[in-house]
Amino acid sequence: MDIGYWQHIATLGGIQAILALGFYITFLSGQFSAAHAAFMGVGAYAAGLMSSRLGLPFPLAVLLGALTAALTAALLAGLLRQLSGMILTIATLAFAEILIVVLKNNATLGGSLGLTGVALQTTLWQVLAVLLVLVLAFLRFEDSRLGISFRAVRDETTGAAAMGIDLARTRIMAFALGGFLCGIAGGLQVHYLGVIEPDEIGFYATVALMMFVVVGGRDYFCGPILAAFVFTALPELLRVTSRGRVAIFSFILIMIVILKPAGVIPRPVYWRWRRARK
Amino acid sequence: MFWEQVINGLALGSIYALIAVGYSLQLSILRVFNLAHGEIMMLSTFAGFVGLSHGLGFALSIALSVASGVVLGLLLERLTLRPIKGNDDLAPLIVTIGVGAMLQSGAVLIFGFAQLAFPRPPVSGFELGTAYVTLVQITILAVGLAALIVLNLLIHCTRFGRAVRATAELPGIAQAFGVNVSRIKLTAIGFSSGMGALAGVLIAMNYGIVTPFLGATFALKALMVVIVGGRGSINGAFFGGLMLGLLEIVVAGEFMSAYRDAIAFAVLLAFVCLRPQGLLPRAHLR
Amino acid sequence: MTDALDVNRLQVRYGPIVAVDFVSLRVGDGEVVCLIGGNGAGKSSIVRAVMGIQRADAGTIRGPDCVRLDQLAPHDVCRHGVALVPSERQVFRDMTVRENLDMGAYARTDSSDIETDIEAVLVRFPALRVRLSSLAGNLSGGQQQQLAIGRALMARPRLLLMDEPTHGLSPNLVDQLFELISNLNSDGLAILLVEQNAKRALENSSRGYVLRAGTLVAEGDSRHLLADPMVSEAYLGRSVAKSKGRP
Repeated sequence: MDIGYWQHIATLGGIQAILALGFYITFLSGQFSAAHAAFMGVGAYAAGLMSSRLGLPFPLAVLLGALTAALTAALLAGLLRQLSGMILTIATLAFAEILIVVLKNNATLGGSLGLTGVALQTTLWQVLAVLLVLVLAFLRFEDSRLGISFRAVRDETTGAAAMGIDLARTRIMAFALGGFLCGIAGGLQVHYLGVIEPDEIGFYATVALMMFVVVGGRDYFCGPILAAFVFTALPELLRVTSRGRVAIFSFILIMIVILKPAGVIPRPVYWRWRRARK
Repeated sequence: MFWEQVINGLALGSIYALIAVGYSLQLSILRVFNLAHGEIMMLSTFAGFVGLSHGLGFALSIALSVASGVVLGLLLERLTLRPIKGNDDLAPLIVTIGVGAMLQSGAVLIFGFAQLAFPRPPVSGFELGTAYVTLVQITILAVGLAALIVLNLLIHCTRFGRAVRATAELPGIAQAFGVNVSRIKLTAIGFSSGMGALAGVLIAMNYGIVTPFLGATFALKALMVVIVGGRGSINGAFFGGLMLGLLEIVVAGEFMSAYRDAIAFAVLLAFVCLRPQGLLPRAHLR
Repeated sequence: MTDALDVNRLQVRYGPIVAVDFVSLRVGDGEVVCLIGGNGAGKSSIVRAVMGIQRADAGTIRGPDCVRLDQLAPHDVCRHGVALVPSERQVFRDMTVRENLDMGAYARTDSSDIETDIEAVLVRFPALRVRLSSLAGNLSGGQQQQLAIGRALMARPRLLLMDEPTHGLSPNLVDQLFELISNLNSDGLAILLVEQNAKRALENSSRGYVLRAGTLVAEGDSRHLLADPMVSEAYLGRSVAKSKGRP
């Protein structure tokens, strides 16, 4: 196996890691969304269209694609602002379904076969650079005012109101940020594979995302990153088909929720690391 | 032609109703949105399909399908839901999402992506005024009506029904007065999964096809019907399902049939956002 | 004559936290015994352990017929003579008064006697008779209290476990409640009264136990406990102020 193959796996893993971070940041505010794969799709389609049909330069297309995804996410969050918990998740699931049906039936966007003909622009170093920026951002985010407000919204709404945090705005912000990150991932992916199909952003992608966060741990952002890399690389290396992948991912998801709900990374490791930082 | 559409709509609606009532029961008694319900229904339908392919008659295959549904439902509760009881609100949902995905991808691995032809019963149908009604449709309507009547009688007029309602409202207190809550939960999920299996088989016989995506197609919409109809209201879920079926066929069937699913979801989503508590806001099982 | 309740060296843990630390208490046949203590003292943990909702990590719990309640399945406890009047009433709000009473008798199989018992409950609580077909959720707080007690009586218990029954009741209704308790007791029912309202509880019981942070800090004859300086300072002063401050 040559270096090119490792680079390929690393790039795919990196994109999934960015996606996982997008899901994770929204999850930090207590909102478990099944629409983040759809946001990735929005980012991918938008970026792909802008670069291949409108001729925009690659970085700009990705950025605008991500902003489109962020806007979509914010609008959805506004619509769903009265919902929480299980209902919220199901409503996001419904939104994702709507989006997929629309995409599949839209000839301009390529229908079921998806958007094709996008120039291959993404390199491993770009993905890693984005990831690095995100890691640094997350390190500062945890103790920032925004990060604290997210966790306050998650942990119980009465205390948050007392702290002067606008519940609805924080939740919309959490969706917007998550949508933005997922949009970046989408833009990078469409310019790496050259195509984006509606099936790629459906239920299976959502299950994979959930698995990354549940396995990687709900409380620390590096867990999902690691899980994303591991669970993208392993199936590739073991030549598992995409359907087999889903079956295995969902099985792991179930097992972890039942047996080790806090995630695989043991807590003492995390707290020692945090203390060392201070 | 119109009346035929109405009957089609009622038949589809009865299917949604059967599935939705199953969700509603599970939500009230097990406190979980069981997103694996549709996939259990799908797998049970495949069980019936396998039975038919091996020469079991229609009656036996339907029985096999219902039995599979019951067993799968019981396994779900025992193996995955009971161990995580009490952890938090989200864990059961995540688990059922996982189980659903696992069952669906498993079915794809076994049966493939394609739609398989599902045998239809030999007696087809007859004229009813200007409409042509198939035997399967009559069966669907009959089963739906029977389910509605039986459930209402059971829940409101029997000692068992009282125990179920008590469990749905205050499980700890019900237990303190002698209700075997664990058994009620198993009965609830077994019954609703069996009912879902029956719905699945009827779908397969009605449309003549079965696919691993049968659950995904029908179940999510039925789930949203439950939310709109008011969680805990069996009758709300039932009539909501009927309404959805009628609307889907009679209204949206006229145009943009490809977008029918999207429209249905959009309407349901709008309802959910405008009235999160549902149309009939009963907190507990009625 | 056996005890209605015999709790011996009960320990209840929630993970590493010890909520009940080797507590022993007794309710004699036909006695009214109170268990008082502040919030978080462990009173509700004891109630939960007796009813089987919470697992007993150590110790034994025997019911009216000497059966080991802690070894029973939770839904069987009521079949051995113990009935619960839960904290905050917790009637089945979406069921009618009649159905609530039927639920109290759920574990029983003698259907003709159930009708007799329902009649007896309605005689005791005339307000419920008028509202027999009303949903329990539509009843006032005092009526729900009566329904909760009536429901428990339908189980034909030898021991009634009352968990903070005065909570949220007006002083008038509190008086009625203790009159009722006295009546029930003279009919031969043993009662374990778990209360934060220490003064009234001690005044209306023969013996008492005082619980703090999971351990018993005092026990004995209720009149002696009322006079005990430690008890009155810690619990009676505070509880008097509370009942005055109640709206």
